[in-house]
Amino acid sequence: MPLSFKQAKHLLLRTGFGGTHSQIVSYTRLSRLQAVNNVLDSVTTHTTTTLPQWINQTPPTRKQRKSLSQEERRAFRKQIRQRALELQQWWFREMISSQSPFNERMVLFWHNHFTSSFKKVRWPGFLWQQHFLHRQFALGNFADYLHHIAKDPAMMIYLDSVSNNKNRPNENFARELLELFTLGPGHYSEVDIREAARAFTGWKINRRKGRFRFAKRQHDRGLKTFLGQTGYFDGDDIINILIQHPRLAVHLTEKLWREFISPEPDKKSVAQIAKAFRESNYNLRVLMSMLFSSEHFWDPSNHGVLIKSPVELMIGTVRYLSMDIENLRPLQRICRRLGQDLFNPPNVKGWAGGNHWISAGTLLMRKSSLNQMMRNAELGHKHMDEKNNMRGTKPMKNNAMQMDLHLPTDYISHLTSGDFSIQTLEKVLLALPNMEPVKHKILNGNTEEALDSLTQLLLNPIYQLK
Amino acid sequence: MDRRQFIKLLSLSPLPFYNPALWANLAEKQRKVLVLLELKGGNDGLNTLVPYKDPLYYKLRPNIRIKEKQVLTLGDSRNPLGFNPTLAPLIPAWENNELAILQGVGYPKPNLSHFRSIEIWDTGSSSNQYLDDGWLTQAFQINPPQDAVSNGLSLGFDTGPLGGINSNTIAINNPRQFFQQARLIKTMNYKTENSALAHILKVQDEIQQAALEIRSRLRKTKPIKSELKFPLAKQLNLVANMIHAQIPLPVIKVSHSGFDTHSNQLNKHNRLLSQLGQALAEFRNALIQTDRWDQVLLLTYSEFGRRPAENASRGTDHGTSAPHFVMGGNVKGGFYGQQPRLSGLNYANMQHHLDFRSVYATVLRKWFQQIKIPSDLDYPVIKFLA
Repeated sequence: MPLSFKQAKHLLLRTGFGGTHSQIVSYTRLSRLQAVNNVLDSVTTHTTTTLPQWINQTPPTRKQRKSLSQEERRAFRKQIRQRALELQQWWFREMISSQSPFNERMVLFWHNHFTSSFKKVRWPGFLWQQHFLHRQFALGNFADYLHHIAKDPAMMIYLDSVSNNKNRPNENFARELLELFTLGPGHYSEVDIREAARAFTGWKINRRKGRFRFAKRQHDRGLKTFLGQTGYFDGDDIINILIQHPRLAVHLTEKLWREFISPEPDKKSVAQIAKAFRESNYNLRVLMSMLFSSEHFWDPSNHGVLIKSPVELMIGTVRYLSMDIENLRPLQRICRRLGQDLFNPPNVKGWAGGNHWISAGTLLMRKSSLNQMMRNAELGHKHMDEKNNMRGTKPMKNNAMQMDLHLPTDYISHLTSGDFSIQTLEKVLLALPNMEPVKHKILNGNTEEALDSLTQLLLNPIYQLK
Repeated sequence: MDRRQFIKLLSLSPLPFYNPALWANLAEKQRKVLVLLELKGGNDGLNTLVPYKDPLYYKLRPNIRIKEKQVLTLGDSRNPLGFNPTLAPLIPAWENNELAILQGVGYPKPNLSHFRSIEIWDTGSSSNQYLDDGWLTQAFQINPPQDAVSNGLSLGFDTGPLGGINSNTIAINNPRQFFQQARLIKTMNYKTENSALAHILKVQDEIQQAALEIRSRLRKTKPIKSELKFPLAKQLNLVANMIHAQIPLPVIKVSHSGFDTHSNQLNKHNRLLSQLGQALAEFRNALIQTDRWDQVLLLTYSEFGRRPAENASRGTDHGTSAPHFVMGGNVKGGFYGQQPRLSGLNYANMQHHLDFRSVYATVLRKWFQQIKIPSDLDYPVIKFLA
């Protein structure tokens, strides 16, 4: 049975950044199974945006850093800050132009699961390396992913794996591995953390090559007892034991449920799906396929119950309006102030998401950013400018919110071509029926009115939902 | 919004909380306000409150010291401490016993990372705890403020102690922008099972109420003008005007940035302190003139102090304990706590003597008169309030 318009819209909103009218319509020709497979098939490691040329550069050695003068050191710090901004911009561009928004959503999820932050890692090249790992394993084998991410340089720096030595163990990585990355709190003891930390001793990175290396002499080779098992474990053994644990699949399934389906995972369904995920040998594509095939995903009472993250809100709007953005800095600033600074999660737990995104301050800012987007776009029209000045409103000052956004003229003509009514726009843009029904109106020829109706929809509280 | 839009809004949807008669009564009430002043970046306490008789001070800071003869002495010979000369505008408050200096404020196992340490200060947690809500948000959850528009207002998007998902704090950069933004919201009476939507509508409603309230009150009172042009002064001037207009906000947060002085500290830091002194003095004068000084308690705080020894760039690296100021008409001025020792430190950081949570406990118990406070903040009270 083919998807209804509502269902197609829901799928595109939940698995991507939302769709345009024609994109949604194209999905209504597909059955549920076909549509879900279409989404899953779009995942790729290939990216279209050109990477910064410095991306594979290796960091300076400690000796080189020590030999820098005061001035040089300051210049170096400025350079890496600039590069961090460029890396973030690269990702924004990729999200805006990607033919596979689901790909980007999965990468965003993994970035928020296996967290690392520029503030601590400091070398943007390492952050890129980790980011690419998220792309490689987005729908891959989770067991392999876990092994790889544990030895990822950015991760090792972020969680102090590099400072974990036989005589002075550092528990940071072991703790977060158990608490956040695999089992979740309540399924292990403090002793397990300590023993795991011992097993991970001797893990170092060769900073020059940006690679893992094993420092045998720093490794604690003694007997360890971890989650009820005893042996002369090293880090890989710990990870293998975790992979055997039935809780791992449940923890991941619950987290992905909360990201893609609803705030309260259904226990029974989670148990079923987790079991199948585990039996598939942790095939993430199988897991996502089950989640998107679940009745809970399609249940109308689960439509519009999740809050868009700042990135989803802003990128989704830019994509929908096909906006061409030259300078991404204002967009980056807005997402950061709304609480989501990519490559800089607030702490190892990542962004809490959900209702946490919305407070008095952030809600005001979300709305005013969207309003600003539309006003900037409107100002591209000469007659709008005159009208504003006639009303006595102040011309747009050069402030932090101003964006060089241009609403493409074909979007506007498409909007006012006579095929669209406000109701159609509502059906495309809002995850739920509008709270106050709006009078039926065809947007025909009157650009100002059409843009105004569009703006009102973007300011509708339902637009914050997905 | 202008009068025409305001009336149009009233006719569109009833605003259940806006009752002119009720608000008029509340205007008469003497309302206590806490003003939080965040010194962003980590204020160097040793050049703020100088131990001018300690030879170690001069030894550790050959290049960035405040010269002894420039220091404004404050204590007696047993407690030889003095102000950085740029803090001269604070002397009247000191001499009038309205300025309490809390010495050596910090916490055990201090964290030297900006974002982590300010999180600790904001949430009132210990060094290894991770809390989500600001300490005031937590306190107001237990003791919701009576007759207030919201928990508080933050000038600047960083709500800090007022932050967290359980907060209804309003964060604004400037009021004009705020009212413009609030205009974009229509209140709705809408029942829903969708908790995400319900949350958004609730927050919307709070913003709307706050905007109306603030706007209308500011309009009714004669504005207090400011002579100073820098951001902190402008923020405090707005706060003075809001307090004068009796806008019902228990907490208002402002901030002063630039304290992360890793290099070439002396002039930079002196300039920041000079602005701090001037802005606080102007603020105090405005509140005394409008007869509101007794209603106000102002508290400075910062993520950490700075290292006693200067670094190779004529600056200082991240430190630990530092002094902070408490000012207000009801404050019992003087020194509290203990000046941290400089001896035996080498290149290390100073000990703290007052846990910052004692300061919070004092504010909650003695200023806001709360009986039950968050258990993490249950620390002994400091006697700087009558």
